[in-house]
Amino acid sequence: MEGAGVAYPSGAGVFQALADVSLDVQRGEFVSLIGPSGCGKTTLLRLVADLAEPTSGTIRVNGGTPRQARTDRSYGYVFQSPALYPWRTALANVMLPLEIIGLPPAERRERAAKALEAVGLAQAAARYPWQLSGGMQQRVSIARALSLRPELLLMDEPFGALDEITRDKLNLHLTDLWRERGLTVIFVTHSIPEAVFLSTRVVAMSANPGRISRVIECPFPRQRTLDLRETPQFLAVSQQVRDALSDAYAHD
Amino acid sequence: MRMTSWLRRALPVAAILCSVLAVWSVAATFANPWPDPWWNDRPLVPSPPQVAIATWNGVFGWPVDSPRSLVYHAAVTIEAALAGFALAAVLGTALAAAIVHSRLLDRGLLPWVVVSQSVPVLATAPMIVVVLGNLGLSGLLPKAVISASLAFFPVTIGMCKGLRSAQSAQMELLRTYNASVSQVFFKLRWPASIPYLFPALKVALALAITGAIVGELPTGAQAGLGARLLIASYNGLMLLMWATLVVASGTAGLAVGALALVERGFARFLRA
Repeated sequence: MEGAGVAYPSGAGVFQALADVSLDVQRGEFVSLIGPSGCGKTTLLRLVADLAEPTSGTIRVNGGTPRQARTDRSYGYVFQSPALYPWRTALANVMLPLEIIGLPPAERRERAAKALEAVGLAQAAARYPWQLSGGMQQRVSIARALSLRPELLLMDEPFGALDEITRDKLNLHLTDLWRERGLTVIFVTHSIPEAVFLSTRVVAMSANPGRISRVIECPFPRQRTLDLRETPQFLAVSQQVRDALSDAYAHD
Repeated sequence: MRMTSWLRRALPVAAILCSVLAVWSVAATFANPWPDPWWNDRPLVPSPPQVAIATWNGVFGWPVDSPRSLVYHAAVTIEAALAGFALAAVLGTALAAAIVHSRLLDRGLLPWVVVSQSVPVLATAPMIVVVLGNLGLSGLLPKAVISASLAFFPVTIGMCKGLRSAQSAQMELLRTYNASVSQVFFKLRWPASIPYLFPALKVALALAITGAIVGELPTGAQAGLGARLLIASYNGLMLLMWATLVVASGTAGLAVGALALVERGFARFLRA
């Protein structure tokens, strides 16, 4: 994207949610957006997903507009809340996008079952959302996003509401999925260790107006285990992100 | 354990019933001429046992196909009420679906829906009968239409809320799939509205019965609880009037209870 900006009219004139943001994400990258509340990281993700429209600048997804990407169903979006439909079982929730695109029932079932298996929830297929823990619910929602087999995954603080142990497990799971499937991921988070652990690049943002303050490379091998977080290299990158963010918070 | 929880539920109901009976008994004692205020032939306020006996006689004292049987009249009323209820459920839901999909209708139609309920049904009922009569429609249909004109309101209001009850993330999810308006309706809006549907239907059913009774008053109906009430009031038959009212509320209670059973079955079906 180039020079993308979003301005909302607000009480006191115009509120600049995002100003002149330029970012280029390559195929197969894992890019995290991190920053204080109100820095526009979710807005940025919503621009890519065509859930919001820029008031200035341009955004290209796979060489086309975000709208084309949406109508081609070429990305999967994972929301902050699992947003499961409580009247559907886990399997039926994962089948939802496949019903929308009009896949025949047998194929729907098969693909949904595979997607659930990929997030390690094959045994929970027949359960309802209220019978699943928060972590399991969010895994179902990831399976739902994967069931369309997108190359691009957009994730908006998917693990924000989970406890730390569950979060570690899901991070490990996500990095495996990313590597094995050659996914491109844009990931919004509040957690520095999470961002550094998962990403190839971390984008530190600042608020008022929302913009990119620094981009930090995470030069680790793609095969990652939780031990990585104890290495001096990991801690050094984390410190860089922390410094970039404390600058961002200083602007408040 | 089970017994005590049952008692705990029954006790408040019994307490209210007892206090109503107490107030009623006092009123019957002082409103009617002495001696024997409870057993007057033409009481101002009939006493509880008088009403109980009159109700019993009205329900069980005659064969059910006799025009003196309250069961016969209740059946006539229920028939019209159920037709009106069905009409109200379908039209009320359709109206709500239209309103949630159109900002114009939301602003333009909803206020009229609310205003429609402030016009007394006693005033509109004769008009509906006359208009439909001129079209050659009489009997069940005018009563059903009057009944539906009351009953559609809670359905429309409840379903407007229900069809909008999905969370924004659940809605946006379908947007990311580029789902059509009808897919959004049938995959999300409609199932999300079910918890709002049944409470609305219960209110609608009770109103449909009231509507059917009121619909019988100005139509010169020969049968139905409304017709019975009219005859009783013309002839000053207080006991018959009270007995008819008891049967009317009993009928409404039974109908709403039956609907609650349907709701439970429906919930089980959804879980299966």
